[in-house]
Amino acid sequence: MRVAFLVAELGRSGGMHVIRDHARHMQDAGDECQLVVCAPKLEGLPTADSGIPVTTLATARDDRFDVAVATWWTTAEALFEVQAARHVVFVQNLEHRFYRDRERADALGALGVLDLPVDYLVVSSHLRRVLERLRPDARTRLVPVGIDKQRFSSPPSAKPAGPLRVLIEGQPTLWFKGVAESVAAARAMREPATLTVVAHDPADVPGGFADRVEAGLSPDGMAALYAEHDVLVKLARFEGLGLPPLEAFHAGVPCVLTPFSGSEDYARHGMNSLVVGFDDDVGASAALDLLARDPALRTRLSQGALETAAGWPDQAAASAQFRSALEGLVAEPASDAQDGHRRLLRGRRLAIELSREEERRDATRLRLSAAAVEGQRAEAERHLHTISELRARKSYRAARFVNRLIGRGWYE
Amino acid sequence: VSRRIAIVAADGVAALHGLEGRFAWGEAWTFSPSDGEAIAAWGPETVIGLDGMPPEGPWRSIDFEAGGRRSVSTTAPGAWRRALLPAADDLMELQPHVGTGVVVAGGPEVERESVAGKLRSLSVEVHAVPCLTRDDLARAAVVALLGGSGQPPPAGATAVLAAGRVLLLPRAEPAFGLLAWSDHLPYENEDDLVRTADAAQTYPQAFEPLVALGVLAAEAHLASAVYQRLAVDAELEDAA
Repeated sequence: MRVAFLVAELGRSGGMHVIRDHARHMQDAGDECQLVVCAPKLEGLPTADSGIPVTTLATARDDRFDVAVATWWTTAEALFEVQAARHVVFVQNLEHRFYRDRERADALGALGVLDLPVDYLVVSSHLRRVLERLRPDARTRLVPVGIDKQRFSSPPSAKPAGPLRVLIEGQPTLWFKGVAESVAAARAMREPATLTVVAHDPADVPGGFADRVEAGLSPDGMAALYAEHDVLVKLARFEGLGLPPLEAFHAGVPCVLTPFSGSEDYARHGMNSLVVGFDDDVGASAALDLLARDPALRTRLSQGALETAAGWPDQAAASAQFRSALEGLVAEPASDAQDGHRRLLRGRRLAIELSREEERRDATRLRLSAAAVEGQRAEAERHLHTISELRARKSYRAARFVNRLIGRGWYE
Repeated sequence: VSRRIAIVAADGVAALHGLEGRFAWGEAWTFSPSDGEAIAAWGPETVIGLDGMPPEGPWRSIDFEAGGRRSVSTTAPGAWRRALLPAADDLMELQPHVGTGVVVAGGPEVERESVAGKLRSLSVEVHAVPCLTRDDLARAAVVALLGGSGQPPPAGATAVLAAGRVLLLPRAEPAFGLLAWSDHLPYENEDDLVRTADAAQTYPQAFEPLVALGVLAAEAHLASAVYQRLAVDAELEDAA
């Protein structure tokens, strides 16, 4: 197969690692893969990334592929510029959820990817249910993300007694990762604990945030870090799948986590994890205190974590499933996802209605701001008027005269 | 492990937040507050009161907002856990049968009637009710819950999502995992609410993604998930 992976950049995100793994595996199996960078500004682009040829969208337009795979919502815009027998969107998260209120345009753009007349590959059963519900006409295949078992699998070591060793993974600047909430929960524990935060970029971790901060670790470094800790805390708002708990499970480290989307594929409350509700700060601290007080529970959850890990596919198996899914889509007749056109138009209507509502709200805010400015101006005028009146009074003029006589500048 | 959980609630509350049936983790049945003897005869390990303290007995007691030793509350200081009242699992059965019009529920009557009046002036079919019921959910396409901004979502929010209706909420904080503009529509004032509700019931197909994502958001708040989690928490706590 000739496969074009449309990527927004050649970054170090977890999602990009997954794409590289699949592309490398497919190359090893004899397929021809390319990373097609769809960024508007292309400077210093390498000819290859991790052994996978890198090209630009302009070059890829003149080529022909069996499958073109969009991997991020902005790359989906270029999907039909690439000639391919099948057009696929690889969904690793519902990307519209990344954006907050003031980024509505991006959110609607990202949501629109689920309306395209394409086939979908998804990484979790949650995402599959979303697609099955929204796009029953489209072909959706679940392709799990594999774990590098050689790196992450380690028998749970006999950890020294002492405070509970709590590990929190995530970039504090990403609001949906719940890193600040995780830190707060650990800090509010009654039992003694040490706290490590591991992030992509140390510059984004405030000083004093944790007892120990690690950043930019290699997979080997992450594996060693999991093995050093008693529990991983992940109070995310949502994920596509959420790989760190699975990596921790391979080291026999249980998790305290929210029921974020994706976690239902592996988290079992009281068996390999302690699941706490969203925004349940007291519940998260209580779960950690419970683990600190109860070594038998830690051992039981650790065993449960290892059992879950044992049933999870490794990278080779997951990539083989990815390849097999693409092969299947190519072998089968092209999808008749005509509903995509209807959905696109409906999505456009949603964008119109929400944008219209936002315009109304902006206009209201503008009116309120203008009224507030007018109110402040009127108040300032009232103050000036009062000052003028005071200055006109005989008592004020007399005081000013006396001050001049004694050489002070008051009332000037 | 097969555990027994009894839910105690008055009929109206039970219809939105109760739980009945057998699950992978055990079974749960819902009783009325006067069914103390029936609960004792069944012999659950955990009894959860949804609208008051559960009856006393040889079981672990959990309550919602009643201030007991294991009290679940969205805001009360000293609460044992924080959570919204979960959605009855069987509300999912309402999803394929979407009603029409807008239900405006909760809040002071004067506010409710004001919203309803504005919606009627736009020729929108509207029902204003002090407390949301299962029948209200069944007949509506859109449900607006009244309440204050900057507070947890009003009671009934999870039920509306599970039933597959468009949910309008005052901007909630904390939101207990609900995501504004993704699984529900937030409003800042009465006029926002009226215009958004009008758009949602005029163009229901455009709002399908919101409903679908709302249903999936409700999964984390289903009674079968939440009550089991609370029961396990209490068991582990006692075993430690």
